[in-house]
Amino acid sequence: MTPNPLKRVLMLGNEAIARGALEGGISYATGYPGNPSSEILETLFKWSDAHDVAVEWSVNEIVALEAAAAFAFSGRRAVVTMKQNGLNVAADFLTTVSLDELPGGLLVVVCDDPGPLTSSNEQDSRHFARIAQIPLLEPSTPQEAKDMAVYGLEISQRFGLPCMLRAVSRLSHGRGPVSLGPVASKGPQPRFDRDRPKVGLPFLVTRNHARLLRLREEIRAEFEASPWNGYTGPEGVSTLVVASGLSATYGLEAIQTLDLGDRVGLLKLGTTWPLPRERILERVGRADTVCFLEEVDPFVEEGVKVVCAENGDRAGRIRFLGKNDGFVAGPDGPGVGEMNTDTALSALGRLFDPAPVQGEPLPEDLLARARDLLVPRELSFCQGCPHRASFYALKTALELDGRDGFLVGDIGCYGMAAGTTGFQQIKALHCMGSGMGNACGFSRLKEFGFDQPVVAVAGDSTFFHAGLPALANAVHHNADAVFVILDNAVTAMTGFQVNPATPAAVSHGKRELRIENAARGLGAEAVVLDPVADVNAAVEAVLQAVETGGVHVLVFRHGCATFFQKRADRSARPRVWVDAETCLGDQCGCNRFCSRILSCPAILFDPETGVARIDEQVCTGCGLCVQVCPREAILLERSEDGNP
Amino acid sequence: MGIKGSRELVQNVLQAGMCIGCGACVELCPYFRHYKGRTLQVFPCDLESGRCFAFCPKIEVDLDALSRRLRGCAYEGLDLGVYRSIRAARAGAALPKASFQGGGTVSALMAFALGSGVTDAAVLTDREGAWPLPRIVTDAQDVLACASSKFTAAPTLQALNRAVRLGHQRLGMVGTPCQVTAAAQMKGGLASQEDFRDPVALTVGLFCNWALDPRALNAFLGERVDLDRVTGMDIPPPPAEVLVVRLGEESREISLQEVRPLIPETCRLCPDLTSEWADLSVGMFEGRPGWNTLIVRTDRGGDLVRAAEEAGYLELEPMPEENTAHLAEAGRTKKERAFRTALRENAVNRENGCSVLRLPAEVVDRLT
Amino acid sequence: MKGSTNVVITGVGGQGNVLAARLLAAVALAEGLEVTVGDVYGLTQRGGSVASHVRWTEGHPLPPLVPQGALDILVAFEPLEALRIQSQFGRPETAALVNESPVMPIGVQAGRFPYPDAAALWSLLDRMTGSCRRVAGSETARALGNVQALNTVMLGALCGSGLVGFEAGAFEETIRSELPARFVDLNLEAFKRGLALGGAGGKAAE
Repeated sequence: MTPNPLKRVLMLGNEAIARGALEGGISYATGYPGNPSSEILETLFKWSDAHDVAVEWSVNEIVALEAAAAFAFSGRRAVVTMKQNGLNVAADFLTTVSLDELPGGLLVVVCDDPGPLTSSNEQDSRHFARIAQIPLLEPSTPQEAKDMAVYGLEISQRFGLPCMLRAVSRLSHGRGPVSLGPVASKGPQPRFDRDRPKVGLPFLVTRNHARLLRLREEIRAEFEASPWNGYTGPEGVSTLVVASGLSATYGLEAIQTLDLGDRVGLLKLGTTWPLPRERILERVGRADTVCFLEEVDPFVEEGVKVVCAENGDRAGRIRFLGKNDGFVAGPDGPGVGEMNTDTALSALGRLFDPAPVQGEPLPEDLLARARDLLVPRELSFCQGCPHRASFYALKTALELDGRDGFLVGDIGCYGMAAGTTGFQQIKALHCMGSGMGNACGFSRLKEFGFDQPVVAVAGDSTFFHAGLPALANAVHHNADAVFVILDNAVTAMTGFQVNPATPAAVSHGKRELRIENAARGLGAEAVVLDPVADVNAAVEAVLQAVETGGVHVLVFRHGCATFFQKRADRSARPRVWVDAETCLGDQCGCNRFCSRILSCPAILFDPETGVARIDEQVCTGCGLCVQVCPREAILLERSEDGNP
Repeated sequence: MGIKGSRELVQNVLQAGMCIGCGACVELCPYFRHYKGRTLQVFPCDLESGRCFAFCPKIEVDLDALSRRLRGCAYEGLDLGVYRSIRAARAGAALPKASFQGGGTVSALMAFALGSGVTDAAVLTDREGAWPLPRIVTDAQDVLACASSKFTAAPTLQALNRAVRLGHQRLGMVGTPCQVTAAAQMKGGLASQEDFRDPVALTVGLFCNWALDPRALNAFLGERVDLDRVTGMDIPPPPAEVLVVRLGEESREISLQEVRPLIPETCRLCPDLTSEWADLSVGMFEGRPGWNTLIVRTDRGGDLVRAAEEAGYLELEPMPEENTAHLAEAGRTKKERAFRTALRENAVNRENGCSVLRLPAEVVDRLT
Repeated sequence: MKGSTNVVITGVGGQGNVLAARLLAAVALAEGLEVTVGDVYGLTQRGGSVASHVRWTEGHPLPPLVPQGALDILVAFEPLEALRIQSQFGRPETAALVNESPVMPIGVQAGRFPYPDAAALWSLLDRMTGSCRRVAGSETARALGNVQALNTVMLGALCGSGLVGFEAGAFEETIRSELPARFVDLNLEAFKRGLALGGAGGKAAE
């Protein structure tokens, strides 16, 4: 991409962040994949060769941050990306590295997922900027996202501490025009100055902490003049909207939709920690009603209230409307879910009497009829997904065992096994590796009479991300624990990123680590099997593991169907079809077992022929249905080249 | 009531603790499984009616319909069911020596039936450690490996369903009264299957007062012996009052008083001591070790017995009158107890909901 | 909002509607408009609904999502998804272009619930929109030998409908510049066939 400030290109928010990091002169980009952050590194990977940037998917977020920090220690610039859950993993390092003096630049990009589309919480990561006392930038458009990434790296190096850039799903996955700038040079030969150690020893902490707070005020002073903060609207109006990041665009649209442009002003904040105190007082001081739009928590709202309380004489008497008083609320209540134009419209509409007029809505009777007809489009495991076989086996084994056993799991495609597609098997799901840690505790519960079998499931990437400590803990404490590692060789859920379990042929020469070797190295029994090739063997293995004590690691290994099918020669796929003569359809008594229970996108019940049918365009030829059909009516024929 | 589906079966039998684990519902479809003494439905099925319900010997067993279909007469609640003759029997010299219990009559009949081509496979109950294991046997030699009582409920009919699926057309089976009842209900087939041909050519029923729940028994035995070493079990005739557990050469005696609590509730509703719906019923001959009581109930049962005797597989003697009377009394006692229990638990001839048993009201009145 | 145009291009994972939205946005950008696209999907590639919101204006950048009741133009690659989006974002004046071929949700395939009756679905779509045009999009793409061409067929229909007011040449230019060279000819042909399906003179959004 050649920089041409006159030409604007459409970019995803995440692509814009990647571009900004590139223009900001990074030498290194790290991260752990997670929606909605993954595309930043994906994009940087594409540019890494041309622009001489080292890019890596690290095993987890704290390793990613620690690795990126090494560049900042040595005078270079680096970016680290993660989703909000990942920041919790990285937080331990973040809250100590902020006490250092960094000769380089370190941009921490966190993509939050309010009203989560793909997350197990809707945490507002901005609190961490305050905890670590580092500058926080909140872009409102892809253009700002790019520019703020450049600026964030610049102030990080100038002030010598990490800078946090916080995006939200709609920005990360929104697309808008971006003017490109030049790519900065990478800086001098990297060198770690041994005379300036980065050491968090207790006796140094208070000194460094005091320095950090002084820096905060210097940064605040800079933010007072920042172009990221701005006022839109007439002078002299008494109603002010204060909005941060993307919420500023919602506020602006609501004001224009309601035709309130002459009655309401909007203060947009792009630098939200430390807050630009004077800038806020200047506008808030002239208003008597202040309404806050932001997501998710009342972070700016409470910050502004503190500013006003500390400067009561200048702020005057103000009616604050936001999340704490419940005035600004989405359909699920204040402080819950995403901000959007509708919520902003609802809040601003209630400020005025009579409420400004909007267009006619669709009649309620038609909407009610639509609700009757609208069937959900549920998520499901892809055709050929090995998780279908794995959870079929796990459910069968736990039912056969008959002691009310259950699964504890975590984050990944297999998390969908808490729903219909995985037979509702996962009963506890929180964060990366949480099931494996839970299993350690369920083992100890046996001392108190607990007698239900517990199986922890985790993915290959999760195993290396957060599973290893739990496994070490289980072995160390002589636990009775069964860990089923669903090894599909890629980090599928977030877009098939490579991880340590990925074959070297796919990861372009990175070294592949075998889960069973790690497990055995830690002293656990480890068995490797392919649940798709022989689902009954998987049932047997699970049964045997839950019936005997000790730590069992069962590696269910079968490559992600969607990822590997894309790369494989289609003609090499085994062909699977239903022998319409053998399938008895509804006369069978199997009650459409293949289509109804396996719920595979490739299996249909054909009402015209009255028998099951395989959609050969969709089918990957995995052969699970072949194994479970009671009539053996589903046939599989391997191509002569064999199944890759 | 009619034939319902698996939802009613699961609710009224599996979840109600009424399942004896006979295996009649297993391997008909992909939903029901049997594992270590417990029958379960792994995945939900919402069909309105099914063979699982139709075959189950613990729900909506219509004794009158069975009697009319298999015996050509109404169900009268006879002490030993309808039969042609009762004889004393034991294995003849033609049967190789084996570790059968009592007179070896069952082994002799099954081995002869297989060897002579009356049956093409036999469904029997073997043992895998402490667990009963149903087996399909096609060689007369293998019959002997399955000899000896298990005293626990066993999913023998799972093997029957499998054998049917594998295409066997002249099956022989040995089972307890509940298993024989299920097999008898299978003979009715399902109304929807017009091309139904009875694949069972011979049923040999056992006498049974009760069976033990294998999960409960194994938990109980597991505290007393090494389960993996169990090779067999025996309950010697009264007045011994013990369960003998054989561990290879050694054996352990456990008082029956300790064992009785392991009898599942479901056995108390069973009105059948002598496998009334079998072709032939075989049990102990009290007071004459080494011999069995053999009840001949059908033509094909009688034909087989005659041929087996001629071939030297079976020795027959008349049954003394007083032994028959004694057995009848035991049969009546079990019936009376079962019908009284069923009445008390509202498990017979219900107008709404599922009954365990259906039979003419006057028979219930007479026997309770 | 006055002076803005709100389009949603919706479909099912894998149908390619995200690419169609990107191309439409590129056309709008080339026209000098302030354009924003918001892709709405849950867990990617797992059979769920995918909707791309494409919005443009001459003023401030718009947020990525169309507000409720503000939808001007609905381009649906699948009828059920048309109803879903129209229920959520539509208004009585919305103009809709809907591909006729249904894609069965996995729950329908598995027999957990039925796909809505076609007559009922189309009649409701007619009543819920200002105009609803049925487009034989999948059929046309299949005739071209590539179901993935559905996105440019639908884009052609949108252009042909006259609803967006951009010239066909602008779309063709964008197809040439944005798509990999080996797909350009196929997609230009698909776009051309789509033009005819749009039924020029469709009611323009206000």
